[in-house]
Amino acid sequence: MILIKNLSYSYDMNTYQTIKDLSFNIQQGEFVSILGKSGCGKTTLANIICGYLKPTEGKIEIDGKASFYPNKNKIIINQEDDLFDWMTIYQNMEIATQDRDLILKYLLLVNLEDRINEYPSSLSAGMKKKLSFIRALSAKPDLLILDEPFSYLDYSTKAELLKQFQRIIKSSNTTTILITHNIDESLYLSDRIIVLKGYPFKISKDIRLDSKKIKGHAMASLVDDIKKSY
Amino acid sequence: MRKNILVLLSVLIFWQILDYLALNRSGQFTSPFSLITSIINTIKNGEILSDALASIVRVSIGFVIATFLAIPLALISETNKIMRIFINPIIEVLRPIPPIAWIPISIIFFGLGDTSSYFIVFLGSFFPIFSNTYLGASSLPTIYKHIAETFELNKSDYYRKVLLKFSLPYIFTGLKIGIGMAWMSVIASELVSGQSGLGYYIQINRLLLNLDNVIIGMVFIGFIGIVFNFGFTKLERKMIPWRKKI
Repeated sequence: MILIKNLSYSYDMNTYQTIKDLSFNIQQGEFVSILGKSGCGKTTLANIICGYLKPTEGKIEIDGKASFYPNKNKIIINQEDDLFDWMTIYQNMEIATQDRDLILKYLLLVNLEDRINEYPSSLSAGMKKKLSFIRALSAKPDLLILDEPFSYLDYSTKAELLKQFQRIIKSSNTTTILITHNIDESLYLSDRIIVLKGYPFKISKDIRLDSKKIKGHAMASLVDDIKKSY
Repeated sequence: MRKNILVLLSVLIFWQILDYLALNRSGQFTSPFSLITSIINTIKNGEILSDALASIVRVSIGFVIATFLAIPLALISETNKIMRIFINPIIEVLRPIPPIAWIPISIIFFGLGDTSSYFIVFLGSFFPIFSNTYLGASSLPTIYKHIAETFELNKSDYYRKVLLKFSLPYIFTGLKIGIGMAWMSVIASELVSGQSGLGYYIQINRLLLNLDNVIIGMVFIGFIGIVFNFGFTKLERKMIPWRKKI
């Protein structure tokens, strides 16, 4: 279980707090979308959770252990291109795991098994994201954070990646946080949506979903409800 | 490569035409044709080859020492705050001093022998290699540092697989500038205090008023420079294969 308790953060200690007294928890294997407007502090929260920023107050626990520093247990994929350009596709995977069979298994999942000796510069933007994604999963993290990783991709690539990512995440039972401002994306992928509102933000809604049961009018009403609290 | 040869040939032809049009009435400057004839004769008697070899050895030794010290020192300085505080002011003070200005001190400390030349070559090439490597290492994007932290790379892997590899294009720029500086330094050193080498060869022939040989010495330096540059370009392509596709 991922526990976030009384988390606060300020870029400048003397002035305005970006995050104030935030608490929530995530169950093992859960796919949670954190939904909020651009600039509300979602990425700051993601950077604190994965250890790139140190909270001014509060704590983060993964399976009962405090977790403040970056490590293989919590991996983030964001908009930026995070593959090492000078390493081949296989070498990029080796950063995460030395298990050759596992690497090949994941490369096969995204149809990169025949391109292991190529450099990332030969891949399209969508393929690069796939590689970042399987590299993260091959490290078997307790928590995967997706911070708007598809924001600069075109609609069809984005849709294809969402579908593929969701399938792989579900089959690996990896606890996942999706940071997004896109309601459709969060509804499509998540087991749960946490809606953030205000500056510093607060949780305005925490919705558990069973997407198979929510259809038609119920779905429209849910979207409306999210929009109001967003 | 073919274009370069064509340009050089054009320059030689232009030079020959100028000579033919009696620009060289005083006879102080040699024509390309007589220069090439002189080069062939000089190579045949072998004298310049031993001097060229002496300079190449001096450049190689000084340059290799500079490379193996400058690269690790720059990488460590970038990542270690204490090293940076200690090293950067020293580098900033020493860097603007031309290698030639060190010649008197190097003669006092190391005498008129080869060690003095190694030292001058070392100083000439160290700073461009250090500065470019440092620039490369300090340009490493934060995202790569984060990825290295996330995947728990140990220090050795971080230096070898991330910082050094990312800095390689910058390092090669430093090496290319450094080898040029190494040649300038060795010639200056040999002109002042050499007992052999191309600088010494030029100096002796200047004193003997043998201008043809002075120019031959200069042409040799230029030729060796081209060979070194060609070698570095080949090595760069081999060591930075991912750049081909960028």
